[in-house]
Amino acid sequence: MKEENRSREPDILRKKISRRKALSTAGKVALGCVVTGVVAGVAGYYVGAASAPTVTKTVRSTVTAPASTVTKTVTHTTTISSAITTPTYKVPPEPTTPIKLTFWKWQALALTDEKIQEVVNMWNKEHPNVHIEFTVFPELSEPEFIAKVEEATKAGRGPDIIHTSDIDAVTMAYNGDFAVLPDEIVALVKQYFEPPFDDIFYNTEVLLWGPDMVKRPYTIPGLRGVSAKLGWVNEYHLEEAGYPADWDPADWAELIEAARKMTKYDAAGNLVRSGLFLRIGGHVPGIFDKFAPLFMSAGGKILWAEGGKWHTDLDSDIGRKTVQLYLDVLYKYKIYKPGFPGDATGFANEMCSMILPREAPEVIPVCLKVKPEKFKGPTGPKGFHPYAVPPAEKGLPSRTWLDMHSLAVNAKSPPEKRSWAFHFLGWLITNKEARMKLYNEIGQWMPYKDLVYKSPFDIPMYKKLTKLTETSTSALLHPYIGALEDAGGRVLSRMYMKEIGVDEGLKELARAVLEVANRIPPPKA
Amino acid sequence: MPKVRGDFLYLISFLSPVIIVFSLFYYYPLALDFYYSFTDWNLLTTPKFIGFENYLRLFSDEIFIKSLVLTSVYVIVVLLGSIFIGLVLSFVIDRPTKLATLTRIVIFIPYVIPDVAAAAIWSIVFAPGPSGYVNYLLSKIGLGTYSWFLDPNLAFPMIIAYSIWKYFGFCTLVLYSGIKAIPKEYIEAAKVDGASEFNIFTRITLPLLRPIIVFVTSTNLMSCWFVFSSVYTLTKGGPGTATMVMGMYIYEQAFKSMKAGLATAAAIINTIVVLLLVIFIHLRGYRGGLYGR
Repeated sequence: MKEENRSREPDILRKKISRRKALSTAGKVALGCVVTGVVAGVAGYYVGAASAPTVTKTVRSTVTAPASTVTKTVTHTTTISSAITTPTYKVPPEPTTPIKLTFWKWQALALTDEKIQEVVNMWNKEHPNVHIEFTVFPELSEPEFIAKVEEATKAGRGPDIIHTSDIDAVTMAYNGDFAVLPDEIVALVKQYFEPPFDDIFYNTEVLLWGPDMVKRPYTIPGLRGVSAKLGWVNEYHLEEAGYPADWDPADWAELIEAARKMTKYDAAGNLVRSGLFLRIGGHVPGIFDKFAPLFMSAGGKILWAEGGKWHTDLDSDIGRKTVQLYLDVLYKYKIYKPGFPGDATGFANEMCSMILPREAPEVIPVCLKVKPEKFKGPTGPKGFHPYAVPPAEKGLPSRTWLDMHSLAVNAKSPPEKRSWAFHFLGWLITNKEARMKLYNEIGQWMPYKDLVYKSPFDIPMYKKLTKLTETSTSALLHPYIGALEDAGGRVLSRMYMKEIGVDEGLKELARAVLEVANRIPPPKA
Repeated sequence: MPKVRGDFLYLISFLSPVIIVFSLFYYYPLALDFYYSFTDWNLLTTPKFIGFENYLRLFSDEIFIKSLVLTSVYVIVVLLGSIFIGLVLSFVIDRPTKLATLTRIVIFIPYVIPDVAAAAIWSIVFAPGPSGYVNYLLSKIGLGTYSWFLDPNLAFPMIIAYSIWKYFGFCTLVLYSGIKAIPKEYIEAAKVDGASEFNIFTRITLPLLRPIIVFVTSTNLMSCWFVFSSVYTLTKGGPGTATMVMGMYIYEQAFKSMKAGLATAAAIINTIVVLLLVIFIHLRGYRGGLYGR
C-alpha cells in the first residue's frame, strides 16, 4: 500500500492546472480561512469569557541548600493556561453492602466545618452505600488528637479519613498512621493545582517521612485552604500615618518606623493602638511558629541535618537580632505590650495596625466578620492587605512558611474502607461544585487552576496573596516539629518576658530544639 | 481460728466490689503511673525504662523548681485567703437577718459555677486593653488600663485572686455549718462568766471549729495543689512562665512536649508532697483528740 502511494506522488506533482482554476482555488481557500477565523474568533470570545486567559508568569523562589549556608535564587518561567484540561475522577460502582467511613477533623473552624459537612452530605447523597460521618474535635491539642486517633485505631474504631494540621500530619506519617497516597491521587493534585503549587505540594520539603525516615506522599492539601505566614497591614492606618495604601515594608527598619507612626497612646501614656503585633504569648508552639519566618528572613536556619547530626542556627547572631526585634517592639519603642489586644481579632478591631506574621484563613474571615463596614468591599476584602515578611536588611530574601492543613487516609483502616476513602479524596479534588463550596463561596483561598482566578479571588489582594504564597517553604523540618515548636516557644516566651537574658535564652532555645530533634536520628540523605 | 477466717471471708465478700473497682480504676493506674515515671515515654511509643533519670532531670529543671515554688505560694495564699474570708463571712451570715438565706446563696454561687465557665467570665471581665469591662471603668476614672492576665507582674496575683473568689464560698458554707453545730450553752455560759466576744471566739468557737478547719484545709489543699482548668483557661501558664503552676507544668510536659515519663515523675513527686502535707495537717489538727485538749 505504501509502495502504491509513493508511486502516485510524482503524477500529482506533475499534474498541470489552468490559471483560472488556480485563482479560484486560492480564493476558496482564502474565504475558508476568513470564515474559519471568524467562527473560531466568536467561539474563542465566548469560551474565553468562561475561562481565564492564558497567563505567562515568572516564579522566583529562594532555595537554601540544606547542607550549607549557600542561598541561591532560582527563576523559572512557565506558560500556563488556567483553562483546566484535567480528567474528572471516576468513582467505581458502589458496594452492594453499605459501608460507613468516619472522617475526623482536628480544630474547629465554623465556616469551613459547615461547608465540609455540606460537601460530605453531597457525597452521601451521591453514594448512599458509602456513608461518611464527619466529626470535628475542637478542644484537643495537636498531640491529644494524635493520641486519640491512634488509641481509637488500636481499638478498631479509628477514623478512615483524617484532616489535621501539617504539624500533626508529619508526626502521624512517621508513626505509621497514614497510608501512602496512590499515584493516581498524587497525579490529580498535580494536574488540578496552579503552578508552582502543583510542585510545592509534592516537592521533597513537603513530603512526609514514613516510619523508615523515607519521604513519601501521604497527604493532599486540606480543606482549610492554603496560605503562607505573611504580614498584614491596615490601609486606613497607613494613610493616616502618611503612607500610600499599598505600602509594604522593605526591611525591619521600615517596619519599625511605620509601626511607631501608627501606634497611639492616650494622654496618660497608655497604649490605645499598637502599630505592630508580634506574637509573644498564647498557644506556645505558635510563638515559635511566628518567630521562625522572621528568623529565616534574617538569614537563619531553624534545623538541618549534616554529618549524621541535627544542627540549628538559633543560638547565633541572627537569633539575637531576631529576638532583639521583639524586645525593641515591646520595651524600647513600646509599640506593643503583653496582653494588649492583638493577633487577627485585634487587627480586625483596629486595635493594632499590623500583624506579623499570620495566615490568610485566620485574618480575612475575622476582618470580614468583625468590621464588614470597613473591610468588606463589593468584590471582596478591602482596606487591608498582606505583605511579605520583610527581611532584616534590604538585599536579604523574604522567607516564610507554608501553612497547610492536610487530608490523609488511615493506614490501618480495613482495605475496602481505605480504598473508598481514597475514592472520596479523588472525588473531592475533581468535584468543582464541592470545591466551590469549600473555597470560593467562603473566600478561603486555594490555588485550584479552575477556581483561583474566579470570584472572589480575582481581586488584586488575592492575586498578591497568590504571589507571596508561591515563595513559601515547608515548616515540616522534623517528624516531631510540634514538640520542637513547643519547646522553642516556651523558651522564646521567657525571653520576651525577660525571665531570662537573651544570651542565656538563645543557648537554652538551641538546646531545647536540638533535644527534641535528637529523639530521631537524622536522615542519612 | 476457723471463726476468724470465716469472719474474714464474710467481710471480704462485702468489700470485694469496692476493692475491685478501686484497684481497677485507682490503684492500677497509680501503679502504672509510678512505673511510667521511670521511663522515657512520649505517649505514643512503647515506654523505655531509664531508672531515676526523670527525677534527676526534674530537680535540675529550673521551670519545675519555679512551678514548685509558685504552687506553694499559690496554695498558702489561696488557703489562708479563702479560709479567712470564709470565717468572717460565716459569722456574718450566722446573724438572723432577713437576707441571710439570700446572702448564703450568693456567696456559694462562685463555687458551683464550673471552673472553666467561671474563668471564662473573669477573662471577659478582665479583658486586656480598653475594651475590657474593668479596664473601661478604670479608664473612665483616669486610672489607665491593665493587661490583667497577660502582664507578667499581674498574672499570678490575678490567678490567686480568682481562686480565692472561687473557693471562699465553699469555706464559708462549711465553716457556717460548723458554727451552727457548736452548742449554744457553751457560749451562753461564757457570757454569764463575763467573757468578752474576742475571748469567746478564741477560747470556744475557734477550738470547736478546728476539725472543720482541718477538713476545709485538707480538701482545698488537694484541689489547689493540682489547679489546672482555671490557669489553662486564663493564662496557659504564661506570660512566659509567670503562672506555671504544677498542674500546668505536668500538662505541658505530657501533652505539649510529649514527655509523658517526665510528667508522671512530676505528678508522683507532687502526690507525695500533698500526701505528706495532708497527713501532717491531720496529725497536727487532730492532736489531742477531735476537739483538742
